[in-house]
Amino acid sequence: MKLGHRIAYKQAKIILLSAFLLGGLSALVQLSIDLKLVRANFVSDIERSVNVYVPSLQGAIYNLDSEQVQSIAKALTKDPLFLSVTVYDDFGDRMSVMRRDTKEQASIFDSLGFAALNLPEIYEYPIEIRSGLNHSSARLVLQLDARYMSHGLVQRALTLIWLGLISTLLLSIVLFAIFYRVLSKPIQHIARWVESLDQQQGALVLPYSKQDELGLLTRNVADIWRKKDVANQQVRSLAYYDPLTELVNRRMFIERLEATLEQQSASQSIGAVMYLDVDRFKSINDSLGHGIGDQLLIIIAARLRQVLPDFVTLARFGGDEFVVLIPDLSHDLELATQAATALAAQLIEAVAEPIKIERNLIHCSTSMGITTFPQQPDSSSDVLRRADTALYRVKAEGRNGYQLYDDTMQQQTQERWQIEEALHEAIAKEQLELWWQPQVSTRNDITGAEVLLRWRHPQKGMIPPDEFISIAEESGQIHHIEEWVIEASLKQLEQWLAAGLPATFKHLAINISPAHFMQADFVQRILPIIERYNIAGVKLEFEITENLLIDNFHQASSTMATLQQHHISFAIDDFGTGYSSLRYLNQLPLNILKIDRSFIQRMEDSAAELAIVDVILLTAKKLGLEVIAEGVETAHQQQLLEARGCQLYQGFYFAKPQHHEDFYRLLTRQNGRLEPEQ
Amino acid sequence: MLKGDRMTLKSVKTCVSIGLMTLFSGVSHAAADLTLYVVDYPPHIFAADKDNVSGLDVEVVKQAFAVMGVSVDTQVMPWNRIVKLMQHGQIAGTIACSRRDYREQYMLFSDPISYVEPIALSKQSLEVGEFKDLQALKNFRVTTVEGWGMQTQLVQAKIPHRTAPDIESAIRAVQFRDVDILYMARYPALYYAKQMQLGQEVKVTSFQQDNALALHLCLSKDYPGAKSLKETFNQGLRAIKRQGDYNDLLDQYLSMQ
Repeated sequence: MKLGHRIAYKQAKIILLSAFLLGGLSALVQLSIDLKLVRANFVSDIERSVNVYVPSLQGAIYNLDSEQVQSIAKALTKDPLFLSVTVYDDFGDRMSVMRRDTKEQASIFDSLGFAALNLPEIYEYPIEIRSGLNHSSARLVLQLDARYMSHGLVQRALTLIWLGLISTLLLSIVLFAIFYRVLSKPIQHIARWVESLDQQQGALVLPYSKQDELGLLTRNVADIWRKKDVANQQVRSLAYYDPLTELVNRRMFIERLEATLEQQSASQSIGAVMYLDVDRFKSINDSLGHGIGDQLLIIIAARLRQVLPDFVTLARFGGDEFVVLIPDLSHDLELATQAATALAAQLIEAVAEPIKIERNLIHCSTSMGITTFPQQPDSSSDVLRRADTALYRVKAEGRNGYQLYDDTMQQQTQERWQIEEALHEAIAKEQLELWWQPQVSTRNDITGAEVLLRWRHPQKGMIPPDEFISIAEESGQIHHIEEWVIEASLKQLEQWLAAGLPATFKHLAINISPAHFMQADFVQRILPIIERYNIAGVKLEFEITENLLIDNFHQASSTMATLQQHHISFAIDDFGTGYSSLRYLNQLPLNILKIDRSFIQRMEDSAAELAIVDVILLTAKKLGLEVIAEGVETAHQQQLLEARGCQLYQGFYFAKPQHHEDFYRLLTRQNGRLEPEQ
Repeated sequence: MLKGDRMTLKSVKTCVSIGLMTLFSGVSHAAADLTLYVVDYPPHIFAADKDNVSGLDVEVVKQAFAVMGVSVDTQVMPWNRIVKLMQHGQIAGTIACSRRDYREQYMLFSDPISYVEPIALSKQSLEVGEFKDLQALKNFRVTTVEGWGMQTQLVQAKIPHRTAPDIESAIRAVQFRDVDILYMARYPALYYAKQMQLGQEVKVTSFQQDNALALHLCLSKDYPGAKSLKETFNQGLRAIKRQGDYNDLLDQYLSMQ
């Protein structure tokens, strides 16, 4: 720190200036008082001296006795007050001039001092001469000795100034020393201590412990510093650790992964990253509450941690996503892969162990994507992307397992991405088309149709919905697409109704994605579309999958009830392939069951499959639901179904999905009657 | 003096008196027509007592003016002041001063009213012969008054002498001590000898060389009417001399008979 910036220096400066100012003022006051006293004394002395000589001077002047006058003048000049004495008689003639010989000249200080006395240099006294003839007066003219009169005053003033300077200087030094010791030095220590706080380890050692303001300041700084340390630790914890599971978070994981990648570029060892999430965690969270969900995550984290060796980093990336970093498995890729998959199996097994939380026994499974590293060139994001891609594959293939990443996954991911990008423009470019597949009664009447979506891709050709609907669901485009489907279907139907439809045509089935159906504003978005079109006489039917109902029972139930009030019926698509809970059949406002094509296709050869069909038909009959058999491809299948009371069919046996123009021709060709294709 | 002359003189005095009174009415002393200033100079002027100024010269002046009808008052004043006042014309003049060249500038001198004549006073019994000049005193034991002008002359002439503190002591020294001659001015010598009643015991011898110093009524040239005043005085002086009043006064002060 520069000297001029130091408090001690500033203090010294202020003290010095203040002391000099006060000392100067004090000296001025003293000088002023001294001046007054000295002046008064001099005036008195002058008067006294003059008065002593005036009587004799009067006589001498009266006698015009020059010698005597000269003598008196000489006597007056003996008085150090007077430098010269001149006497004029009452005729105005000079009788005597007497000047004291002196070699001492008045200094500049003497002149200043005499000026300060404010006395006239020349004093003139009238001396009355009583001659009896006239009243003129003689004059005594005295020149004051400026040097004599001011010398003492100047000496005292100079002494006062010097003493003042010295005392002020000494006082300043003493005060500076005291302030420096009492204030500045401790402040310097405290400042250095504060400066070095960052380097201090362990408990803080206070540089100042007295019970005064500086002590209070020091203690407060120490308190604040301790709080800052705690806050830093909290910030670090929040920045690098997941507060729920106390596992490291994404940031810390990536740092460690990058560090590992850097080390491995030299060591040539192979590590692995496992990206896993808990299957159906959202359902558990929604149905059992977030409290249970959080406890579940804590337990799963603990189990994973228990399985994993200490050198393995286990992170929680958020939600139900856990990531494992195994930095060094082997130098051999095959061995490393084996070790990773073995560990993955242990983890899956650990998660699969039922978990008891409060009164709930929860069965969990996990899906896991695994990748090894390094794969040149490689980065943390590359590694995580590969593991995530493998995880996606596991999920796509039904969850509850693990997949080791291979390059084809990346290719598929790339393709998915391309589809996702192209989907954004598909509606605008009118690449989506509606195809209609008739639903037929036992009398071969076309009672309705299921609208099927096709994407006529300019390069890939016609793309079936199962290749892009899941992508649309994941990318959040499904609601745009399905709203377009509903609107286009209703618009087409309205046109057909206006053009004339057979009386047998009673319902229009449209598939609704679970992701779309479970959106909170589904009803608010769909109803305005439906209300724009007049399809009187034809019932609109939404086909939903039974898994949707299982996962989101309450919300699905509420949405269905609302829409049913607007004359929309519901069909369970692919019934029998999922959980097929009898509970929702009873409690949800369902209208139709659609027997999955897999049962229909195998029922001719399998008594068990046929029995399932029987059960479905019987259940529907008991619950008052209509049943449509999907995938009917042969007359035998139709006969078997009809024999068991199934009255509605859909499948290639009757007709393949057709373009709307073809379908309308088919519909109107025989006034709604359809002969099965042979 | 004839009666007619007396009458004529009386007429003249009356006229002059009226004229002077008219002339000096504004400047003269309140109680007299004219105020003159004096210093103590016995026997010419006795002014030790300010309220009772007298002396031969004072009497002469007063009588001279009196015969001209002018009353005169005297005031005692230091000599230097008298001279300076005359230089400035603020007073009319002084009685008994000698003529000096430098005084001519501002003074008018009347006819002599008395003289300062050096003489040698000795016992009657001492045969002194004739004194040609001051050097003749070398043959005698001489004394004079300390500090007086006579001593100055002795010193200048290198005449051995003794001094006395005053004139009376000096006369006694001649009378009773081994002193032959008192070198002194005639008037003071005679006056004090008379006062001491030594008429038959001492004698006065003049010097052949005439070195008597005349004393005048001195008037300030700048004083209004000074010239006229001088003439009036001279006229009056001549009158009292003619009438014998002057000599009467001399006798009064100096005669040892």
